[in-house]
Amino acid sequence: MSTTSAAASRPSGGTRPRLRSILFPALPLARIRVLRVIIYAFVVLDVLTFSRDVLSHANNAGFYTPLALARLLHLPAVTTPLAYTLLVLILAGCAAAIAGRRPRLSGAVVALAFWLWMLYSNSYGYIAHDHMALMVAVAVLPTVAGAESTGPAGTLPPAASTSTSTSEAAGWALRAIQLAVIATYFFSVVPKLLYSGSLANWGNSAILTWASIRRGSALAHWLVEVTPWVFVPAQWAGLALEALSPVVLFLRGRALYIAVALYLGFHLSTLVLLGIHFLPTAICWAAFLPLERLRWPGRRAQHSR
Amino acid sequence: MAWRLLAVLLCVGVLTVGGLTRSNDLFPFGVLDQFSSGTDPDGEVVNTCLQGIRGDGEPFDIRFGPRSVGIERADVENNLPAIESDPQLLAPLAAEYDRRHPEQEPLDALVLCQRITSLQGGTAHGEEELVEVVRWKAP
Repeated sequence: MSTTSAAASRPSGGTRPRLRSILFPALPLARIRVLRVIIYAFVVLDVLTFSRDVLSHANNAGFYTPLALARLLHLPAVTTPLAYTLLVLILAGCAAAIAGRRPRLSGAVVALAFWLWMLYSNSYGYIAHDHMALMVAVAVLPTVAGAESTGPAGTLPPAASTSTSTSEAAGWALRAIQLAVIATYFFSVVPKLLYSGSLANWGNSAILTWASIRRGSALAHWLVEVTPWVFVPAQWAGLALEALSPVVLFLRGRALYIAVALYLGFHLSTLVLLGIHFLPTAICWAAFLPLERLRWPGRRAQHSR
Repeated sequence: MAWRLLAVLLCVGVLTVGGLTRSNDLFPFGVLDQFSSGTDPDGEVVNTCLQGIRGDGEPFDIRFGPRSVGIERADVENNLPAIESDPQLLAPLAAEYDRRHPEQEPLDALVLCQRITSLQGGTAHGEEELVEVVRWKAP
């Protein structure tokens, strides 16, 4: 994997270089540095809220049904000391990575501990489907070399990785997170087809009515009573978003930003109606954005002096 | 670079296998089957619930979740057959609820129930029905 300055990188012709530029585009290391802060800050939030059930699962050993990877690793049912050990490792690793201290090493610790944490969170009956992109993100971020410095404190990066430096390793990591985000939508079309017989059966079903009655907000219950006709068009719109999601991988500029806003709007609507936020996936949409253009307040102050 | 390409292919491959075999076992690359079973517009909605009982008092609703009984509703629903054959699996839920309500008498029974709503033309129809699935009694 090469690290170059943006000014030095040149596009080249041919199929192989083209494939390489799609899977391994040379992208700014500065983007990785900002994404690292976003992802690890979210992981802290996640383990303390959305996936906090690992702590209480220590009392539910009778429900333990280890997933394939948990069986492969011979993971025993989680205990309170083990759960708190993982939690401390995750929190400490995230804090170090956010602060820019040995981010590859601390990121690797987070990756291992967070994957174990998620295996435990999902080995007691319910499998969450909103964490795939986040788990990919914590796995790939430590693979990027040359993005070791700087954080919210605004310290300057070393000369070897200035704000204009790009690398194919950074591009691959960002591409991997993007692919995981898109796969979360696109691959959810497959079971709809398999379980419902056809996509039309699913689109015309009463799945949103079902979800609204089971877990809907006051607004969702109102829709069930007053405007139940709205659900079938909404289901088809959701299906279109999922089936067409790979297109987003090829969008650039304003079209990309509109697409990101569209998908985040979809999650906002499911949050308002059903209390389903899908935040672990939503946060990973950041991998599509030119985060390197963000400026930390501290750094701006430093430059303005 | 080769291992990176292989990693992507492996993950996509596992995801494809998980999807086609409907396997959640391959988490985090298992089947993404959230809300994938289309509900019959003239079918029914089953809403799993919990009710606590103290002495001769009326049953009262208890919420699922780590801050109540220590487990989410979906975890319980996915273990329903095991709980039906062994109601003792509800014991830790009752214990966790009692632990979080030390000012009150402990539960004498914990009932796993279902509220069933009939659908007609894709919307709720008639009164919901409350059905007891299984009951755990304090020893």
